[in-house]
Amino acid sequence: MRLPAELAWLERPLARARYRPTAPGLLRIALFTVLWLVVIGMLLPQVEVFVPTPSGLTDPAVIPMCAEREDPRWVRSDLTDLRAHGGPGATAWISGSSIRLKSRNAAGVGRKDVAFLPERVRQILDQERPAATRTYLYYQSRRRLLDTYTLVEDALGRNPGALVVVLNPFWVANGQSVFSLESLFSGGARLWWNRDDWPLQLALVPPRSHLWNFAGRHLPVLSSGYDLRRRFDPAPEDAAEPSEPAARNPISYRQPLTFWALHRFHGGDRSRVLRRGRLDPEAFQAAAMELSELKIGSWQEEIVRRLLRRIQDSSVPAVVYLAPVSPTLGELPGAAAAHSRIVAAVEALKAEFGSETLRITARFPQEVLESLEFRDLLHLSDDGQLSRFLADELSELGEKP
Amino acid sequence: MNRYLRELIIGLLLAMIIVLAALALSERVPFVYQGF
Repeated sequence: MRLPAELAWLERPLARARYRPTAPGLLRIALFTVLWLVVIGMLLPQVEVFVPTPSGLTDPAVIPMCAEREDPRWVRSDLTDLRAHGGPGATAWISGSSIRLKSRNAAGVGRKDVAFLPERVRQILDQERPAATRTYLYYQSRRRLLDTYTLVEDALGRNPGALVVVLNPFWVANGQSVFSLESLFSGGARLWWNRDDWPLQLALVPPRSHLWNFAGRHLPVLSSGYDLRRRFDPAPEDAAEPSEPAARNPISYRQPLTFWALHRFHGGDRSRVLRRGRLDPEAFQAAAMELSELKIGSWQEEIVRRLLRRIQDSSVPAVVYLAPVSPTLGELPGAAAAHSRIVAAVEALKAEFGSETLRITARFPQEVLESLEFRDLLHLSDDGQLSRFLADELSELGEKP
Repeated sequence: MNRYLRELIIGLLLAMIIVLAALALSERVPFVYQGF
């Protein structure tokens, strides 16, 4: 048999192996290859998903759940029953970077983290309740709305005692950026095989991810290649967040939103979104906010609704809050107006979905807001009032019958 | 050598190439912090 033109290069090695290809023969080779892959997969050691501990997280009762950013498996594979592991108070906490509390004298963003909000809240609750509480932290910076939604689905599937979901005001109403990384389509997308979410599979997941997910699920050697490799070639601990090759080109296609914001709001003038050669977080946040709107019928509005409906249907008690923003935002008219619209929309959702067991907060009490000190428009340090407020919300959930 | 045995060995070679490629290519692109 003559091989097709694309495979013509195979003819010589096959001839050398004194093998004459035939159609059934090639089919058998393909089957044997898959068979061998399965056998090799069985022979290789089983490797668990590597779950990094976010820097600054010190409380051993706060257990990280997310795999590394680019890991296609996305979340850890063990701890499938949180209540069995952490007792009735086992709380799953889903958030992006807004819960990372910065030290008060830190000069820049993303450095010198001191603590995580869930740690502080857990410690307050621990003093009040006799039984120790455990928190399961679904944390990764740059979480977008669809990521949050999918993580909520994952958390609900693990039988949590309670749920805390942080809505990031810069992303909750942003239709230009509903997910952060494509690893969502491998690890997270399997959770969309249900009656409500299956259209997301068709709308978002690229065919190669479908193939990769299928192959990866049945051939672990393909899906855990990175961790297997690390066994032989250990990566340095800090490989996850290296120091800045980005400084050369901070506005890259890896952040398309930056590109659009630069041209829409700043006329392509890079100096207005850069600070000392790096992307100015406040300029970026303000642009993201200005592009936001929780319009009825939009992507983002649909996902927020689904998220709340999902929690409501599960009857897991939950606290959902819109992260507070810096008062400096008030000086940026476009962004401030967008923010008030978002707060109003979340208030409306609160009226629709809120209940004793699903507590939604869009506005924090004035004294809590005044106690916060912001590093940029979102990231903050807390002198204890915010943690106290959230701990109270959580314990009020616990008091219901 | 038997034709089927040859096919089995070719299959093994292909599987090994795929496994080695999977290991070699599973270096993740490091995440670059961009301020948000």
